Amino acid sequence: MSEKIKVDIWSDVQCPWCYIGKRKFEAGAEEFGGGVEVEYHSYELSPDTPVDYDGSTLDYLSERKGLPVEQVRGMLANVTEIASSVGLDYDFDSVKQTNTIKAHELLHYAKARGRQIEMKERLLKAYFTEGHHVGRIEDLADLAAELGFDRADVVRSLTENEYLAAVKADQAQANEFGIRGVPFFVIDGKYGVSGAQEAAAFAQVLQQVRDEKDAQ
Amino acid sequence: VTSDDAATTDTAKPSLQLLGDPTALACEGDACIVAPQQGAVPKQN
Repeated sequence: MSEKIKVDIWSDVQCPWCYIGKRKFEAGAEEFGGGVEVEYHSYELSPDTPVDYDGSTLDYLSERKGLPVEQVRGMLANVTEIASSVGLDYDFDSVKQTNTIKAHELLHYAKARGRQIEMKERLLKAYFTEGHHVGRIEDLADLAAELGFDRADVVRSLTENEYLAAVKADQAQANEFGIRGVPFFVIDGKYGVSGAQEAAAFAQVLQQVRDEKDAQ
Repeated sequence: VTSDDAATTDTAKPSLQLLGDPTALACEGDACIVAPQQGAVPKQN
């Protein structure tokens, strides 16, 4: 059996293209059909966002960018339509803008227990489609408990910043690679693929890496 | 840096060979949706 291809993905919980890209990558990996091992890495898009932002995504983007509300509304509608094309039901009216540092720490907590992918999916779904808060420790602990994690231990870990250094290390590694946008996929440690590519593009890259490994 | 690298995108350093569509949608900072940066804005009808 062939060795699995390692795919390291830099991503943020509040990145709409990351969730769309996740779906496209999953479809591409399925089309590829070979073994793939995925590891998510932390990337904070807006580390200066407060945990409790008082306003909607519409407010947030129009305030930060100084664009007319109607223009932002149209752009969000476009993103929602693209998300819908990959089976995701984005609801920007219910999204709670927040700081995602604790969500990233939780992803490392889950990774240490072999369940990072599951936690990543739960956080993205919670943020983009369910209107859950993903910035507060108590809310994050509820989501983790849904997946069967020990709620009290999650609260302890996040309160103690147990995985904060791991989050920062991921971001430092992103800087070393020169990554400035997410999602960003590093395949087999040597190929970089930026953005929410089409599934076929992911499948093609994975096959290329597979062929190269088989030829070695 | 190879010419192919330079032709794709500048989002990663030369140690990674960049593949795929350089215009694929991505987020840079909080510019996922509204900033006119490469790949950050979905096509408008």
